[in-house]
Amino acid sequence: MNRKPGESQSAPSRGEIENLCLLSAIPDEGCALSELPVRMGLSPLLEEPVAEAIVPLVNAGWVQEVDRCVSVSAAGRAWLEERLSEMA
Amino acid sequence: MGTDVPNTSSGINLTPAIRSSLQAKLERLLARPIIAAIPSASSAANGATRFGGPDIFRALQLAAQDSQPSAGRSGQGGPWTENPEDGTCLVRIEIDYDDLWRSREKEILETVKNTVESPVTFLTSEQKTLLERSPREFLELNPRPESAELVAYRLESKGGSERVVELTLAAPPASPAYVRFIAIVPNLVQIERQLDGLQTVEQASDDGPLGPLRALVGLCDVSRLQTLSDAAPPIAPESPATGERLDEFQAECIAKAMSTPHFAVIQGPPGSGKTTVITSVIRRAIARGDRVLVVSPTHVAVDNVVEKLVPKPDDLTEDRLEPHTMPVRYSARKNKLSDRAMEYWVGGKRQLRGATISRRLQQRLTAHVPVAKSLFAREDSNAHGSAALSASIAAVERVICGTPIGVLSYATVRGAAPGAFDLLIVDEVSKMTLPEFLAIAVKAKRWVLVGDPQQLPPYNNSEENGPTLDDVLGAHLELVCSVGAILERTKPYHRRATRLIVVASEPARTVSAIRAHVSAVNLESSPPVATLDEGPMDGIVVCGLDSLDAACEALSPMRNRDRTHAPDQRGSLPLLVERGIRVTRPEYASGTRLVETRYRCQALIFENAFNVYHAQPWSERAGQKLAIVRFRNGLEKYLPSVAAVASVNGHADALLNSDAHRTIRGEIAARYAINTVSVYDWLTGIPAEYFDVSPLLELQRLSHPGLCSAVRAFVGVLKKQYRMHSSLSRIPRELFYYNEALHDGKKDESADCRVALVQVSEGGDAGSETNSQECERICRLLADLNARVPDQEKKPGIMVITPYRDQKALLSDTIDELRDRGQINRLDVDAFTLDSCQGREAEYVLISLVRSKATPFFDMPKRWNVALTRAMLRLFIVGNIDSYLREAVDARRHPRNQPREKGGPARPLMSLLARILEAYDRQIAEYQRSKP
Repeated sequence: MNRKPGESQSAPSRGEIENLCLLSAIPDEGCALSELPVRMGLSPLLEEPVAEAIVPLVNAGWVQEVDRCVSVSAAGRAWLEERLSEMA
Repeated sequence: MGTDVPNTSSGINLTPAIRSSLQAKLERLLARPIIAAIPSASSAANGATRFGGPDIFRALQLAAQDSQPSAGRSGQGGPWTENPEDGTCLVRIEIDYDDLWRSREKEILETVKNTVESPVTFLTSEQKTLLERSPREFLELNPRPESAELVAYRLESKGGSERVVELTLAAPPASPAYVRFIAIVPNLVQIERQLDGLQTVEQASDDGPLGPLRALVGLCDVSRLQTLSDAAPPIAPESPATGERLDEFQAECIAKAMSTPHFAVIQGPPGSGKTTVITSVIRRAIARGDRVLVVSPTHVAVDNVVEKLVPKPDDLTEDRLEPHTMPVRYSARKNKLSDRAMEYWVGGKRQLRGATISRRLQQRLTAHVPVAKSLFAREDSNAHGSAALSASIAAVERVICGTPIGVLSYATVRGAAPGAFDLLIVDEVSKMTLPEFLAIAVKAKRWVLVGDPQQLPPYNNSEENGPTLDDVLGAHLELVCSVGAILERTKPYHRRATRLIVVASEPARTVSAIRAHVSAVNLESSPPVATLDEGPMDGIVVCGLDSLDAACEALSPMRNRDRTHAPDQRGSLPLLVERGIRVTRPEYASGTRLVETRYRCQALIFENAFNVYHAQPWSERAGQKLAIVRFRNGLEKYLPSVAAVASVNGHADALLNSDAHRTIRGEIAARYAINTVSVYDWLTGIPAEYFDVSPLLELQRLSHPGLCSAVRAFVGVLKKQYRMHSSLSRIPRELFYYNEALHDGKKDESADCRVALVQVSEGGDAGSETNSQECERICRLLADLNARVPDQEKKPGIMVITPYRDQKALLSDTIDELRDRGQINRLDVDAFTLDSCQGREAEYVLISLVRSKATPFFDMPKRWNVALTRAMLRLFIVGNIDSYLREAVDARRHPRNQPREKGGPARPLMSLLARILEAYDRQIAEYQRSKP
């Protein structure tokens, strides 16, 4: 992970931007991993790479994954909002 | 006899012959490798040379250095200077020009030139010693010594000759400190990889993924292929995907490629949409979950596929980063790739593809994720760390593209198990031989082969291929047949006066074998053949090594004149030495010269059989005799005759001799086919029915009808062309495709004739293969075109094509001058030889003929087909057109040039070029008549 919640830096790195995009692409009610590439405008054939990119977010506790369905945790939501507001 | 050809129930097992061929090539390459020393940092600095003379202190110093890692490190001031831009590295080298390679600067330069774009091998001191002592043991080293592609070289002039002093390599060695030498051996790695491929096929099981390859080389029953074909689902033409436009032939070929359980073969004439078909197959294969490998012997063809797969820069709105749009374009270095293909370049240590994919992802996220736009606007571009999504998407390598041997250097491919890729697509397969195909084919389990047998065949280097017959002929028989070759190449009225010294291990036996052979093959007016003792000294003298000086003394034309020590002086006495006998320099220096490898029978068998193989089928189908086809008459004179075989065997049993003779001829045919026949022909049928002379006659036995029959359902032809204006496609369609393909797929805007024959009366420049008059005329045409075309962003492409390298160099220089003077600023002009223009197209094509009279080199239909089918809008043929037209008129007018053979129809005997120009001239006249 590039940054922990609470850390403050206005200019995000490419990795952080991609993570924020991933988090913001997951709807509040969660979704199947297979839907996630399409929600980001990517090919459905990219399910596996997107799933791989989610793993660090799951490990950080920002995303929960159950039976190949993902949802954003409260901590993840908080970090997302915090970073977006920092950059607003 | 070295190898026999056991017959399986399916066909001939080709693997022993393939192995022997490759081993023979390797041994030839390693017989005298060029080994360049790398001066250590200190010696490079003070200018000392490694081979600098008998300085004992210097030698001791170097020996001490050899035992420990050199001080220099890559990029740290040592002998290796790395270029951070592209990862290449420069290294200064020292070649032993003073002793081992004395007076052979030209030979070294030629070898180094031929090695560019091929790997060179890094050697430690121990490895170098092993290579010199025992090439065979060197080849068995495991792990193999490191290698890197030779990118360029630098010359320095010394004593009036150019010496290679520096190499540019695609990458430095991993452990430069231990590398002391570089072996410059062209094709070494290629052949090793072909051997690896062969071994993998041999070790595979008949039922496994490589079963079809085993059937192809005759290791298992072809009925397995037929069973697979029968079980395949029925082929239904594919309907076009979104944004795809396919004609009926393209749709059919795609369907065949997608449904084949083993091989699919697609013939794609020029401009027929080969690349469209290939990319459509890739798209469908990826959609069904396949991993695809795409290879072609030429970078241009690989780049064409990559460019068609990736989204256009102005069309990124619908870019969903589909896996097929993110190919890996592997190449040891990126310089030779097109601009767009370069964006997907992956090299040994560096790559550009990851950044390209990251950029595309950014564009997609910006368009689809609401917060992305503002986030990317604030990106800290200096921040380090990985971008997980970009990285994991870039790790999707479902399509890997490269050259067949080059791509095997890519770790993902090199480390892949046999059959790991679902599909291998080979473009320009008609340029690929069987061993070259096997090297990469073992990585896949199904194969789609795209090519055109009417375009350039595999490259035949007769001197390189010749030694593959070593074990078939044996030294003695080869010597006898080479005498036949020398006599055959001498005009009959000069033959009687031929003088030749033959150095043999058993002179008496050789004399009787030569006499028997010469008489058996009807070499009329042959000179007397005798041993030195038999005298009188005239004609062909056969002697042992110990009496060579005496033979030279007796036969030398310089006997009563001043002696010369120039071995290639005109009038010097040719010396033909039995293979295995080493004649050292002083022994042949006195007014004699060694017969070069290219004039010995092995090279000539390959050379002439190759010419006939590619010209005779056209000659038969087009109903026109070609001078080059008459080369087949010579083959019989230097192929082993029954009498020569009997003489070598030493027994008189006619039946046994006849059997041995047949076996040798069959094996020669196998070696010929393995090294020069394309995979396309192996799978669709070798055209053996057109041949009437050995070794081509024996190809019938090798061409397996069961194999062709099993593949037939998956063979398709793209019959429509979309490149050329109809007035440009007409003659190639009639002459080279017999009106069976190259039909116009689109309607022309205008019905004019776009071919122009531009007369330049002056002949070629004396003593060279250039024609400055034609060059000047072409410059005027270019300037004229430049004035006519509007100044636009995309400049029209112009290809200037010529048969000869010298003329190409002259044209390139002149084009550069025009460019510098701003006289062709609206055009994108490049010069090519006939053999280097395949796979390209341009709006305008100008062909410089150079010569006023055709040579055998001109009589190759496949060469001209390629050159004449590059133009999209207009074709100019510049040369002494009138001379060729006169030749055509004479050939049709004079019956003496039209012998009736076997009661068949009369055929004019003219050069191919005369026939081509005659056809264009008629077309132009026809158009002019039809004009209101």
